[in-house]
Amino acid sequence: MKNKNKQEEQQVPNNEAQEEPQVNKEAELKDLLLRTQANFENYRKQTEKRIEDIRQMASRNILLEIIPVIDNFNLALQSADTNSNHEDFLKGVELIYAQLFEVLNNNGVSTIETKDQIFNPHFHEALMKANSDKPENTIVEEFSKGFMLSGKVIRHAKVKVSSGKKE
Amino acid sequence: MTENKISGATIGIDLGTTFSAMAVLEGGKPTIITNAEGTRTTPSVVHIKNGEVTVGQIARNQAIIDPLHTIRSIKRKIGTNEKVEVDGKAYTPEEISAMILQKLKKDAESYLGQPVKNAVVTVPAYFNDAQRQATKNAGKIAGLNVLRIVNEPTAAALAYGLDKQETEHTILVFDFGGGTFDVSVLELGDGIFEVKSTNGDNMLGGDDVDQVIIDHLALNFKNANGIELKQDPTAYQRLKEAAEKAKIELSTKNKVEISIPFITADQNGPKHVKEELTRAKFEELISDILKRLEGPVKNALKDANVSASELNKVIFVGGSTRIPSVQELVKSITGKDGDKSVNPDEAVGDGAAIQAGVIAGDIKDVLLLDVTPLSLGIETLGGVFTKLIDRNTTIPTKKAQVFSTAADNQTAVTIKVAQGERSMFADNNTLGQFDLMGIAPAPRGVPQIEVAFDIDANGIVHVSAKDLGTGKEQKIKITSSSNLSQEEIEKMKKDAEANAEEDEKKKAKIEAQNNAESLIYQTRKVLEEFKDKVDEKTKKQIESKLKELEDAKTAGETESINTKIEELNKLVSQIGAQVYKDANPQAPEGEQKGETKKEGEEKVVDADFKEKKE
Repeated sequence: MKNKNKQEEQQVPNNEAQEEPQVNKEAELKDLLLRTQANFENYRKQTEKRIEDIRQMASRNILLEIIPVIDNFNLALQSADTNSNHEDFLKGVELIYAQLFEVLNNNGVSTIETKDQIFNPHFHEALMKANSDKPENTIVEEFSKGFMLSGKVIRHAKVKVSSGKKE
Repeated sequence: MTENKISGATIGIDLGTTFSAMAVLEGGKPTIITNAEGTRTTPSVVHIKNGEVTVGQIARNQAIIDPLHTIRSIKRKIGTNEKVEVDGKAYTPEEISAMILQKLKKDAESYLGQPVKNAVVTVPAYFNDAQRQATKNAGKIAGLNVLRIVNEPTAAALAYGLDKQETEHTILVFDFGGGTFDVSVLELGDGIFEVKSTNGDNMLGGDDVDQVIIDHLALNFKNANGIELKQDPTAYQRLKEAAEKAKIELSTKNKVEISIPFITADQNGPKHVKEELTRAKFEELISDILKRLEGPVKNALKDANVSASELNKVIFVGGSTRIPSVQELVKSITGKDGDKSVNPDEAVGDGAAIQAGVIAGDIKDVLLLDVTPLSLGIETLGGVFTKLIDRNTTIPTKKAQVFSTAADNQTAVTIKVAQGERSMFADNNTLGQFDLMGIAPAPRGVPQIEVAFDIDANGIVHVSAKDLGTGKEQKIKITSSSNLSQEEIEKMKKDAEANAEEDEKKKAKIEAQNNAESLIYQTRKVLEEFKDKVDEKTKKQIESKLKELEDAKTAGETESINTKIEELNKLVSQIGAQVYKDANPQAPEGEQKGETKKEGEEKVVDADFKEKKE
């Protein structure tokens, strides 16, 4: 006993109607083409979603490592309220700084060397040039640190470059 | 099908005054190519020294200290005979532009893993013949076969898919980027874009907006601390970065907190910048800039002989169009909301890639595929709606899943099909149903019924149910699934969102009840089978736990059901321990594999199939 509730229902017979082989083949190929393209589209959408999920996951992991640093900053700020030794406070801040660097290291981040280095535009961004005892084109001052992630520069170090001794 | 005469990969290049970008078609969609440094745009800066040429950020890094060897904004000179001299050698603008294109080409080849031979390069709509030819030559020098020079506003229109319009269309392209401002009025007819007018200000861009904020912060600081921050390069740099960041945030927030700790120091100690900037104040600060945007828009319309009401569409290009007051200004003049659905920094590059694809034959009567607007599925045990095909899946597509019977000796199943987003079948739009008979009598959960949904290119849904044991199969063809209007579809989606939490709870409850039912059934079976090997104490514990679970199931409290299931499972595993203890006294205690199948990709779900009495 079969239920027929809607007008649109049809029971499709299991045997396909016999058609011209040529036309059938063409239709078959076209259908395959469409399905292949649709599969690709759907795969693309899935991949985009997966990439987004992975991105969020990665962020989450790093954030979890940063939160303890925030905890320590909190403690530092609280201790600053009470009358405390400036040297000890400084030591504490330095510890937190080191802790933050450890988080970066754990995630493949390293700092760009600038001290007494020859200016290299692949790693350094020069903000100014000035006379100095240091040889020409050597880095005289670092304005802000540069960072590399897994061997690629993510932020160039901002530096002052020597233009040699004053004439 | 015509022969594809283009060999080698083809890319689209947005060769900008201050920044360039490139894109390629991937699977029919334009994708921006990241350069060797990992960024999506490349500064149009060239540095030449001792025969070594560097392009992009690396060149920019030494621009301040080595201006004699650094060339910026060469685009302003292309098409002229003005040469650039570096170390006594004269370069034509084409040669410099070619260096930029060469770097882009190299990075694209790296990204694509194949040689890039061809490109479509964009130019401003107001470029004359000499400028266009020079740009094409630059491509040639760089080793690129420039398939076409395309107008930037046209490329943007392509990125917005505007070429697909059937009727004639008049479009205003508002391009407010980093360094230049261009307005163009285009007319689309018979698939061809015609530039009716251009206007703009090529010394006005997002950098000017940043400068306004920098000046504001510096002034406030000077008034408070008597120090001119702009004279200190490091401080200036930090002001610049903070200004850009604030500008971007103010596009989505009504006020921002600008904080630059330790920006400088005086004899009293370190100083910081900390102040609030509201969107209202920001709009006041940029009011002069906004005024400068008005004129070109009005003039472009006038020159095109088009009134604001005759415009069909306004599109936004360039990062600075993200500023809300810019968008409002355009609306006040044109009376239209500008379309910003395409990333404004990438629209021109995307459009160039699309044009490249069309010429190279990648998109040929692009097979435009539809998507299913709503999810499709069947009714399963407890009245749950089990999706087989998610909404927004591109069609044609097919998906199958294996289900089973709900009761012992069930010989027929009813497949009910619906579309919608609600968790319960009854809340969705029923499309049809059919029966599959002649299932061999077996305990519940044993028969394997494969239900397959196949949506063809026309959106017609074919649903089939096949008994993998007997080979019997029944099908149904549904044509009504595409009959819902857009409004109805939207309403169903909204309903689902509104009821999402409730629906989830309902579904969780039913799943818990189903799991409880399965576990009770299996446990009784197992108890019966091993009744001789299990001691009385364990039997009593299990019996009482079974009763607790039955009660919980009837009460319908999801959490308590799941807790009882866990507790019962623990007890049930003791059966195995006792059974196998006799067989092998040394065997370690382990968990008995549950008879109920675990949740997984190919989960076997008990279908709500009614027993048919013949």
